[in-house]
Amino acid sequence: MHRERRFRSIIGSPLAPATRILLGVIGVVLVLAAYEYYVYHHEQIGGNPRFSPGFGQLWTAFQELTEVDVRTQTIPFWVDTKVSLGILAKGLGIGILISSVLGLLMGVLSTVHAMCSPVVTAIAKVPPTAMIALFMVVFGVTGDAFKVALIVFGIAPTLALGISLVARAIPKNTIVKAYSLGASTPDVIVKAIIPQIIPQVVEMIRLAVGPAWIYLIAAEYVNSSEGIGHGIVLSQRMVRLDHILVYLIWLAILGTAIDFALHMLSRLVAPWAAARKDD
Amino acid sequence: MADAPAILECRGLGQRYRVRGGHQVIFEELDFTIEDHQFISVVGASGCGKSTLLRLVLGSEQPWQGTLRASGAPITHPDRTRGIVFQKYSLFPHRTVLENVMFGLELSHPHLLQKWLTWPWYRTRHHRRFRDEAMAHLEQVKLHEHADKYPHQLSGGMQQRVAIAQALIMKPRILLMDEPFGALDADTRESLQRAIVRAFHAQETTVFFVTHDLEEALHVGNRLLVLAKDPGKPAAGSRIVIDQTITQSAPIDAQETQEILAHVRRAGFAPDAEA
Repeated sequence: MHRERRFRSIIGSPLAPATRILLGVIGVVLVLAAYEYYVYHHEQIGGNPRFSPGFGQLWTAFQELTEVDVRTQTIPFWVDTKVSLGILAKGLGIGILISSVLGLLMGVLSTVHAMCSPVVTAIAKVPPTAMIALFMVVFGVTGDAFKVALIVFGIAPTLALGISLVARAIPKNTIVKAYSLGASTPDVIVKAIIPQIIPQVVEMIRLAVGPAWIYLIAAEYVNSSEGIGHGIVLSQRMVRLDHILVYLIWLAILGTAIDFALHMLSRLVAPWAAARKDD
Repeated sequence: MADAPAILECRGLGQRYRVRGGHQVIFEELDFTIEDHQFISVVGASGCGKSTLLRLVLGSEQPWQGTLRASGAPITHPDRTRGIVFQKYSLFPHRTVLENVMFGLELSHPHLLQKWLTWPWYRTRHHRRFRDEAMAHLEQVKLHEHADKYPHQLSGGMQQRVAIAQALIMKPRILLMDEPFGALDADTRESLQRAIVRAFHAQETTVFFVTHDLEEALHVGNRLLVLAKDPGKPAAGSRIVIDQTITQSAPIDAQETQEILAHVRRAGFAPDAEA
């Protein structure tokens, strides 16, 4: 039978869904296999098994971590998770709120943009982890306030600049058009500008979650009595590589879940944008 | 005279832009009056200022010289008495076709706060009425079957049809169009030209149609306005070189059309000579 010979570049050529999923699974399996080989190799050369926990050991470690602490009658692993997620949510929430308002104002009003853009850009250039010292002095060494502040200052300036860019990039025609249909200025902002930028803003928030985790863990390393970062520091002091790995895997799972949730949210609030990307 | 003020009255209108080392005059001393139910085709070579003129009429730009009055009132900003169809980005990407057409009606009715306070009542009473009216307008441009699609799912020609319906539903006193069919292929363009002439007669509106295509201008309009620069004075702005009534939808090979074409070319506008 004659088979159609058509030019198909390997660059960006689409895959069938089944192939895509299969390749994704193969990727995971390859990484796991490589790790298993490392464990095996380490054992062969007579290395310390503490530095090469196999999958069985990791599972045991997970069970150890989720045991009830007899002293506090709580499970430290879940407490750590709850505390960390709470601070992350607070930091992200406040950061998103501030940057949305500021970014929108900067995007819509040229005066606000002219006034705020240089200073916000400058603040965004300071590595947030360098601000830890400042926030510990201002908000106190104990408690969550300095961690929340770190996340807020870490993500808000970049996010605000991004939102203002997106808002300014809206075709002027759509704004003029809205006015010509009888819109007031608040109408234009609420009904023409905000809905148009929402998908891109959600996308930027997705990207900001990563840095937010960095700042949270960094702050917890510095000083905390609970939280995932604290758990990792403790494991490190006890040279429990298996515990550290369990925490890292848990972070990967949490991060992926948050990312997926935001992706779904974006599809829910802006179905038009998802459809537009597909074609 | 006790006549009602003209739809659009333009006296000594001029516009200039700041460029490096001074100003560039786009056009100056424009005088014309637009009466009810005219279909004005504004034609000119690229850079003659026809789109600038349209923005002044719309109110998204303010003139340097002269006055511009719509129904007697000076134009200060775009409002619902003047509808607009751009070449691109006339539609809101986040709204379906139907929602795009309904947009103006929604805006003209109860304000946000009031709408929220009386939401269930508002929705049943007004929303359905808006829907029906928008559907009727979509049927006129033969797009009622695509009411629930998003703009990006439509072809360029269909998008422009929606844009026309979106503007006409507000019953503007004057509909402004800025090269609305410039990005379309020949067939689509022709069918849309017929559609806009049909809508013009059906709605008894007034149209201000800007194009660089002289044949299109002659085809759709019933009054021709040609903007051109004096080739002897490149620094001066464009002026109106021709302003005359023409027969709408006259065949392109009709003697009258050919005469006007020749006249326009003599007057200084030569599309062939365009860059």
